[in-house]
Amino acid sequence: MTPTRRRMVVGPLVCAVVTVVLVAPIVVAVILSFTAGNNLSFPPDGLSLRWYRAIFTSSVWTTRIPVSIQVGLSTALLATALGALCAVAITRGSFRGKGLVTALLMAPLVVPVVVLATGEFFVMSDGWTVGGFTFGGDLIGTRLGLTLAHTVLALPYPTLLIATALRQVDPDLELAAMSLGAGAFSRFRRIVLPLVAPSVLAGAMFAFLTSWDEVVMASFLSSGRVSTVPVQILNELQFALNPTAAAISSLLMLVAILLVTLLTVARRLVRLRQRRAFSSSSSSSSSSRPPTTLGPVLT
Amino acid sequence: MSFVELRGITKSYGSANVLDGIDLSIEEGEFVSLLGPSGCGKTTTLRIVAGFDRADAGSLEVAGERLDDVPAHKRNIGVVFQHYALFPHMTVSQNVAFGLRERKVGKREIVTRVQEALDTVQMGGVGQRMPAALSGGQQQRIALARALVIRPRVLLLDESLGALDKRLRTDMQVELRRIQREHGITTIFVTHDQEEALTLSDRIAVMDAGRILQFDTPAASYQTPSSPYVAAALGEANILTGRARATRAGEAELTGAADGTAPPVPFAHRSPLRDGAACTLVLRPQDVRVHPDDPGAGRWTGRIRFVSFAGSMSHLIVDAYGQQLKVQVPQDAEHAFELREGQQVGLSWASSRVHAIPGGVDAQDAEAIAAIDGGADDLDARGTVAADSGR
Repeated sequence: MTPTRRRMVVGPLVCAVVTVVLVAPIVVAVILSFTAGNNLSFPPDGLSLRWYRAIFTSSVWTTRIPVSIQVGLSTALLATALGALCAVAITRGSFRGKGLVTALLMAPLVVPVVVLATGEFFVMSDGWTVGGFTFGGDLIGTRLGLTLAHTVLALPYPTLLIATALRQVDPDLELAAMSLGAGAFSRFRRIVLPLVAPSVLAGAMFAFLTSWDEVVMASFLSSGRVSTVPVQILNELQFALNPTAAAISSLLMLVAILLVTLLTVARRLVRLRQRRAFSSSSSSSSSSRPPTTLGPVLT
Repeated sequence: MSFVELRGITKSYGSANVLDGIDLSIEEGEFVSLLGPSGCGKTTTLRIVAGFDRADAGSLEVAGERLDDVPAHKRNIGVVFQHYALFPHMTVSQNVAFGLRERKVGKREIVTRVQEALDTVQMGGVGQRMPAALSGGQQQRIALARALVIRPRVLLLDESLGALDKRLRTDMQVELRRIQREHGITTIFVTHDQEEALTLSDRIAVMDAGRILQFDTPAASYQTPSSPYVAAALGEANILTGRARATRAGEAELTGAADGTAPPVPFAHRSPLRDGAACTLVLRPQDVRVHPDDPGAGRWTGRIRFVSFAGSMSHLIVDAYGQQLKVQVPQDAEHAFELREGQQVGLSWASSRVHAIPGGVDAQDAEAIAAIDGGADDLDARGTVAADSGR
């Protein structure tokens, strides 16, 4: 075999193996969730939807699912709003310690979650007193506590995405708007915001997903009454290999896949609208596209 | 009291002086170009007029109103950017309507005024397109329509034709001048292209190193430049330096030109001249005649170093007494096709075509002139801060 031929065979082969290794457990879990039997064993003993039915009839899950959804949505909203403000500050502002602030905003990406969770646990249970002001306390087992903690974890994603998008907005666009009579608020609302909107949406989605499948922090901050779906899955698996866990995992995944698909479709639509009529002639102001994935941001 | 008045405008970024006392009086309806290399402060001047930057000192008035403390969005000054800066998420119509919507103009009036503006720039049919679907020239027209539709007091053009290819640029120049005349709108045009400045302007402000060197009509600046730099900045020029020697009343000659061995060059002078003072002569390439048959016929003799054919004329470089002279020979000259490199020729010119400037050319001037001759769009050889291009 020539080196080129070898490369052509080896490359795809490695990809195939890696894909199988990554995807196989997920496929197995999804298949198992449709089992008719009582155990998680492969191959499944016949097929049925009984475990999915069990999810929506068992009180354990019907109390957990709303919590996960509420915490996820609140986290997405809060992290995106805060992230947008942070992004504006670190891209447009000039203040002392900007580098430090930027690094701190990204810290949740690198600090081990267990460390963060331990800190959060004490803040949420006992409160954190600075001078006469106490933050937190009595927040264990509350949706607010979970939301705040998850917001910390999720904040870097919308911040990074929106900051990158803001940097790509041609400064001349804002100057042009200014010369046409637009004040600061109007410039932000009519020029900047629409241009970074796809990244805002993507940031919100990543924030939601961060909360949606987060288990470490949630297990520190959950109580028997208020807990999230991933925590419950972990608990179930500790005692018995119950196919319900496989079914609910499949549902979690389905939500994630739907969200990513939705984002891709939205992105396509935006691009289609901008390129209506003719194919785009290259122009410096319109060729830059705001990032909607973390690829260009994290590498 | 002129329509636009800049007085003593200075601006520095850190330790670099970008503007070093700019005074400029522009009449209503006038088309004025700021011409200079990048880093000369022309764009900074424009940004100060637009309100994007604040001057460190000096004052700016438009129509008798002090604008120094008026924010950019309340100045009612239109700006056309080099790269158009059209809003990519809006249709052409929405782009043009932007300024009118900010001014809370009624819906129906917006529609008519937008259509009017698009018709003015001959882009009436593209209102529903997105900017990305248009060519560069079309985008430029839309940007112009967007700036004009708000009926600004002053129109600012920042290297606005620089991104277009040459043919399109010539079309746009004609178009721009027509629209500017029709609207009678006071216009300040920033450019580093001397030809563009000469073609379009009522008056040209030649700038270098944060100062205005000469502010005059294109013809006057071209024929009677106030400094060697201005001479080189507007059109091609041969710069001869030496010492003046008075011959008769109102007449003198330049001695010691080129390497010092060149025969004296007679010239007429209007201002009093001190014998033996340093003096600089400007001689345009098209005013020099070559005599290939009789090298002794002219004032000077030289050897042709280089011939390049450029359609209606040939450009020559002639070595004479150690200096390289630029010469243009029209194609209808009888010997135009006989000129060969290495040929010995006589050089002559009418002494009335020689323009004298008192004083010599110092090293700094020489360098600046060399930068222009190098066709230096982006040359920044003099270490000036490129505040113009590098924001």
